Amino acid sequence: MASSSSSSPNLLTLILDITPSTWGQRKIIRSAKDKALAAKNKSSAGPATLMDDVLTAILALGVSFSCLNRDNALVVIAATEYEAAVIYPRKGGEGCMEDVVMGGSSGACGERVDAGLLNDYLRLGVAELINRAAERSEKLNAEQGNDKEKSQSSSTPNKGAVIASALSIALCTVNRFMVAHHAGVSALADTSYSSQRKDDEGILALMGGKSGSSKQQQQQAQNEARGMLSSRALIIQASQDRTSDYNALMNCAFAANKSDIVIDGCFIPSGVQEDPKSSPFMEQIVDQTKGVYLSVPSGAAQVGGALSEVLMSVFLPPPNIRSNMNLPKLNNVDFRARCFETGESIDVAQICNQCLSIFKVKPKDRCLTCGAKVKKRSSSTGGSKRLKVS
Amino acid sequence: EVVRSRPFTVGEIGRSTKGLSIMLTAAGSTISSSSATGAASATDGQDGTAQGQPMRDTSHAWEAVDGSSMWTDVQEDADGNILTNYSQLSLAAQIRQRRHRLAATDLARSSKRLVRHMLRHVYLVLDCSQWSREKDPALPPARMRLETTLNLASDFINEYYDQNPLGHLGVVLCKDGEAEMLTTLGGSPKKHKLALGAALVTEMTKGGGPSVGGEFSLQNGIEVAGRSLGYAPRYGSREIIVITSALATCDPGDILGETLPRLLHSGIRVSTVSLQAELHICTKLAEATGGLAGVCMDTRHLRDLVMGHAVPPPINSLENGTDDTAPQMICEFVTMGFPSREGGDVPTLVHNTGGGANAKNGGVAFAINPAAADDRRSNRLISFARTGYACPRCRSRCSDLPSDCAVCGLRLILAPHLARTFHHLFPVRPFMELDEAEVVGNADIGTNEMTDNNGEHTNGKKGLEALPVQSSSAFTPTSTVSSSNVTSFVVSSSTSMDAQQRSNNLPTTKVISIGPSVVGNSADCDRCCFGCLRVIGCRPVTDAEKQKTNGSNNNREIANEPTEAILRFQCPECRNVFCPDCDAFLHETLHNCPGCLSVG
Repeated sequence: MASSSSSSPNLLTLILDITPSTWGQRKIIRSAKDKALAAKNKSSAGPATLMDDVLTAILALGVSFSCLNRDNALVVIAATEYEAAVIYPRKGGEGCMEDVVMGGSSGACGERVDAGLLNDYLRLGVAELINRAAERSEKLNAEQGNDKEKSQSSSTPNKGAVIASALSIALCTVNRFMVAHHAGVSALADTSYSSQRKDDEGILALMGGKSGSSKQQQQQAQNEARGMLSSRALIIQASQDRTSDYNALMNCAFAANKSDIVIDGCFIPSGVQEDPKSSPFMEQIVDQTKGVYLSVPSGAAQVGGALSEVLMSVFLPPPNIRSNMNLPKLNNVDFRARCFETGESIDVAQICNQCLSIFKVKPKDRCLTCGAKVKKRSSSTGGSKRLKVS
Repeated sequence: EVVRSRPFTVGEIGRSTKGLSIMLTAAGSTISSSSATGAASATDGQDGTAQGQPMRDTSHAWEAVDGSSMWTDVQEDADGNILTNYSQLSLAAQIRQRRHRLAATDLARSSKRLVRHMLRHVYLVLDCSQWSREKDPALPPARMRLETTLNLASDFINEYYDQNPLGHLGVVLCKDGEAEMLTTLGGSPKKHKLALGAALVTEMTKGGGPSVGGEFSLQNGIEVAGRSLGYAPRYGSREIIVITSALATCDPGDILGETLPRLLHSGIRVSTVSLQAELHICTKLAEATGGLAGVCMDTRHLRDLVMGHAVPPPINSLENGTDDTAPQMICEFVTMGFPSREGGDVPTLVHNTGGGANAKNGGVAFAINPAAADDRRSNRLISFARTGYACPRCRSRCSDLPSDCAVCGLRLILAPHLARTFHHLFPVRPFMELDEAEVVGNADIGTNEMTDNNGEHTNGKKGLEALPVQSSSAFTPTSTVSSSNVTSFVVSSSTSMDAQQRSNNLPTTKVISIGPSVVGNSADCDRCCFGCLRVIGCRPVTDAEKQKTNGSNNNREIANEPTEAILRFQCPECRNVFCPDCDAFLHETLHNCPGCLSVG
């Protein structure tokens, strides 16, 4: 038990996508498929539904995570299309966040994760958020129904969950844990922990030329001595990405990189042809922070116990032992940018030096996003149309 | 030879009296804190004086402090962190002071949406002359100013490439009246840090003393940097940042007459940071070219000044001098490539910048001569590796990004690098401090108003009365909400109440209960931070107080104990409340507001 790799406590922040529209759709698909399969006397073949499969799988993951180490802490954040909130631990009452941060509740076991509370809070929290989201959509629909001009877009498109907001809350929470152990960014610190660390990077790299792993081991030993938790985040997403969130997600990924937080991603596809099979934003974040990405195979692997098994075998191991295991690897992350004008992926791009927007073909007259005039070097023909850009 | 009296006197000439008093307080407080730097500077100061500086008066505050009583002055905050800048200010005042300091030294006005130079070419001119080989008591614990300067330059390089992945940086060293280019403009930090590290070692071994280092020549430094910047493309900004400890400059010509017109013609912006005193020539240059001149007061201020230059500076109208259109309206397009990552089983030739054996890549370390690398071919080294990024134009592989392709010169970047700079264009707005008595909420909360003892309705949301006694919703676990489980907190108002309010018998404190309900936004509960669920501004009701008020009538006024105001910060866009730590984290590292990212 005194081995250095397993004795440091872990903090896992779980970000759960519970958009009612997406999961409602899945439920419909599932019941239809189940009926068809039951007629042939076969067992269910997915896709996963929220209440039955996913929540049970998460509970299983959470409880087994807490069994790995007494001091492991778990934070669950749920996100709908409108808001994101921390549903376990809560701000007050028994087993509240204060207790978890300070290390162990006042209960007899002194554990940081209470399985019973986890179950209650998880289900109640999910129910509450879904309720609120449903009320919000009804209100919006009613308003749009009254407004005749908007009747063309009255069918609400499937919006994605506010993963960026949830991930930011997760990072704030991790920072709070780190501040409690005298690291991280706090309102009183002059230089942040990460910039102090970089001093070492320069000198050590010069002297020994050793690769990063020995420095990391030193860093980990330092952290363990302080009792600091090593943190990671796991995002479970089922709906498609919100394109407006790309910047925010990248900011979160860079902040996580600075604080050594590993972000893992799990995408649960629906198995229907038109729906997205993977989330490109999540792939990029996971690659940036050196996490594990999995797109759960659609089919029987999503049902009940199978989903728990898949999640536990892929996402339970902490980052420091992952090098010894054979986990899914991300190979072809598409890092190419998309042209702001045409939307296609491009290799060589023209970039505006004021607003950094990317174009495949250099605009002749004005930059399409910032409206600045292009400096004329040689004679150029007339202007281009101003296209609407996102 | 002029006898130099205590460095403080020299500094006084250039600094305002206010600065001087702050400096002394800072020195005094570092002694009284328990940090090792305090001990070091105390002993060093005594050593310095023992070496026989002629005129020494004993009027320093730190000289009167008895070192053995240091530990009694150590203070801790609520989480057990030691307060290192304890200077008899309360916690809230310290936080406010820090925010104020960060806002004041925010040279690039990083919280405003301005048009900025995103593609930068910066030269760092460092002073290694005799002036920098003295020990500066205002900048502990370095043995010489040079050490502080070079370490700070190393941190600056990290920060610069972090904030400007598309920028270029070069380093120039000034010593012996000459200027030598240490590294040319390059796109990746490794080269610079290696060279700086080597320079640090060689310079420190040379030692200190007035005969080493020679004179500092500002004109030579600027000329060397300027000549190289002249070849930099016009679409990027051209900047020179001078970090100097000199009090005089020894030049072969007239800076203002010869160099300054050339700088203006090329559109080069010069900024200076002085460690000792303000030099008129530095100020003049900075003003004329549109840069910033700064003088540091202590280590923290020096760090702020230098790191302030890592943020992309706003475009000012000086640079597009003769254009009649407004300068913000001109843009240029730069061609850049987005390589794809290619991996294989067989190691192939890969260009990289070298620097240490990298076992992951299977590469071999080569010794490089930094001065021999020119800017485009900084990726001169070739090693074997399995994975590399293939340039879209010439298909040659490169291992470090962002950089220039070694074969065709195309600038190679990844989409996340571009995304990293977007936060300068869309910064998080600074949060406003929220008074303790204010309540964030919807109009619904108004119906929960409690009347005060006189039976009069209080005025709406501003007042402790508007706080709900228990925050809950239909989904709050009712089985666990009982008086024993729900923690009660005392909220007190820190604003000074005028006599009129006092006469109305409004309670100054109120007991609220913070139960286990979900916080979707701060309208649900505004006493906890939206980011980390920390309870702010309330302290738990102690048992003695609980007995005093018999549980049922929660509005009773509890005897006024002077409680510290704990700060809440509110985002002006989404009106969510955050604690000071989350505020610092969001603004400095994350650059996202979670409330603004959620819809509505």
